[in-house]
Amino acid sequence: MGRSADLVAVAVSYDKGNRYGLQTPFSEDLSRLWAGGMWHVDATHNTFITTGNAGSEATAPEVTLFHNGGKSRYRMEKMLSPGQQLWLDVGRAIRDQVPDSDGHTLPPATMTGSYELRDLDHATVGQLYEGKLVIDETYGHAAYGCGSCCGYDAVVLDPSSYGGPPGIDSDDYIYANDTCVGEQVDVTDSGYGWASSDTAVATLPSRTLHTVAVGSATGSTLAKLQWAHPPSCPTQTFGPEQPVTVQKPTITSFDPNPIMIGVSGTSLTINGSGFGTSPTVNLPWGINSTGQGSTDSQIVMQGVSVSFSAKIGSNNVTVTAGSQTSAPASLGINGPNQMVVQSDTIATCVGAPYQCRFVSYTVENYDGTLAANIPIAENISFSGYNCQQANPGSTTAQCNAQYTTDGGGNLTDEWAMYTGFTPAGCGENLTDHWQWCGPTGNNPDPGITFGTLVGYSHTASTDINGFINPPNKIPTGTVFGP
Amino acid sequence: MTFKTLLAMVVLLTSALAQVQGTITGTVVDETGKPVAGAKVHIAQKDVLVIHQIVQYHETDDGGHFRISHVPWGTYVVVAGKESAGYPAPVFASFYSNYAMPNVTLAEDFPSADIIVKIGPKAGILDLEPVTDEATGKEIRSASVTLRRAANPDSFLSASTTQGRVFVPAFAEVLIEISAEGYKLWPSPGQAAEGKINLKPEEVRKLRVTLNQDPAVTTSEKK
Repeated sequence: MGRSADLVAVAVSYDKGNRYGLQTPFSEDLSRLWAGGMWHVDATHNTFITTGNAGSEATAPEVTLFHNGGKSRYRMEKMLSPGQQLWLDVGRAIRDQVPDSDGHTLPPATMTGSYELRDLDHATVGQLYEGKLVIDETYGHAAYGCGSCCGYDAVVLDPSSYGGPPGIDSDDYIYANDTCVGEQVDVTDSGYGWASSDTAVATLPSRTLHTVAVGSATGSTLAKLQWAHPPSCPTQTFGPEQPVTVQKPTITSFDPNPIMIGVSGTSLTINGSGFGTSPTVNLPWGINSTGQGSTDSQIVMQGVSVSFSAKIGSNNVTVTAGSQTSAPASLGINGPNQMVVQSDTIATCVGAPYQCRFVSYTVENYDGTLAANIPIAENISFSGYNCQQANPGSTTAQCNAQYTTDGGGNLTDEWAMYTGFTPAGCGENLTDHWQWCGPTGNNPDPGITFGTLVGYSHTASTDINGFINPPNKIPTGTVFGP
Repeated sequence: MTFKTLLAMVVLLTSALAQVQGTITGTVVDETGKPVAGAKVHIAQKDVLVIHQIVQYHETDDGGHFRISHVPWGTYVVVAGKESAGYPAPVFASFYSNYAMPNVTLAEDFPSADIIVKIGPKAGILDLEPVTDEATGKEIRSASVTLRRAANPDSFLSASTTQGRVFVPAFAEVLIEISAEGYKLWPSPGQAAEGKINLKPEEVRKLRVTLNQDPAVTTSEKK
């Protein structure tokens, strides 16, 4: 039946006058695909192409003639029982305009082209043999020639390695390189004998990998395919493997970090491992995203916005994958978050003959940069005023874009110490929240507090966070937070 | 309410607001009369007691010009400075400057004013090393440095020694005092000459001071 080492099948043909009797041998091997053979038809030549089913079950071979420089095709498909043959007289198909399986015909002027034979029902291990005969009616020569069988190599599992958390189901694929077309094709259906080297880590009872617990294992499968070794293309059993690493999701870094408060439509990348195929990112309050894409080691969050209600400073982020949640990782939200004292000076007030306490601060962002030229305001409250004179009040900055830090992130606060009020040492308590008003100066309102001062304003001294001046000035470099 | 009535009210309101706010423009120049770009200008209403306020600065342009709008009627003192160029912060102008601070009055009849603000001379610099306890050698971070003009000891400025560098009025005899709670004053009475300096503009004088604990205060604290 055409198998290697069996009797060779021979096709026999004679002309009408039985002048020429010709024989052509069939291929010794079977294949799922024979390609690269040529046909030739003109006034003195004809080509016969044949194939047969050498298998033990019915199959549907397809003979395809390529012509018009390979741009057009003529296709014949027919179901063959075991042992049956299919013959295609190319000259007759042209001359008699015989329609193919799709109703197309070969143009009458067509003379040459290539052909292939394909086993439509057996994509990995075919059962077709091939034969071809070209007759030269001028000189009585018969030229034989066959196409080459087409096989596979580079058989791999996809993904080539798997890393993810426990509790994940992931489908595997088998891909092989089809040497005739030079492309990776999906031959997953040929897989059998799926197995895992350690079922306590991951199981692979079929193409679906299931991760069980933290550890390493190797997934494997078998695939019987025709090997790309023309002319025989023998059947070969391939055994692609897949390293499997099951691990708890871990966050190693963010990009950017910190992320600026108030941004919108930006992206945030989370790097790490064990994210699996569909991780859930647990973001802190005030951070939202519109979508995400991920691999086992990276999650890219798209359309990220950080509202002004978010907390400037360190925020915890976790990733949940499968049944596991990562340890919290710190994502900084950047924005003004502290005041650093630069000077604390007592001198004569501007425009008045009594003393004032001037305290200059540099406002710093969470990432340590200077908060230069940012709109600022105060949310200040007083209590316990106990002077006999009417309270002269104070001027406070509002979130109205009127007040900003300077180009060095500095601001100066002025406290009057007017000794004309009685009784001596009278005054009031104070709580002063210095705030950032957002990039526009009035968004949000109220602002975001970056420094809080608590103390009192008396006729002879001012208390700022425990530093009562005179005589105790705030040392340069002292930090006041929200 | 008709549209015309509403429009009339808006016009009246706008007019009223315009009538109580004026504009101060001017130029900051140095002791040679040269305009100072990037100087900070501050205005303070004269003789009006305000317990607390943020000090608002207005920066001069490349030609030394400044413009301050929406200033309510009143009399203002205008001060200027540029620390990066050696002119102390505007709020300390009364202590450092050798020039009178301009006064400006805005009123209905004088809604705007254009002035020259002269600053200078540049200050000298007192470069303070950390003040330490004579006995322990430890830094006294609560120490203060007080500067007084010898010609007018009531005019003073007191800052933290942790600043390191402190501006000192130039071309003037200045008395320096270093103090801290629980410590004796430096220089000690009778040795005031130790704390007397007279610097030229931008001249730097290093100063290293150690303070002795004040037994009286220590005894008091022990009680």
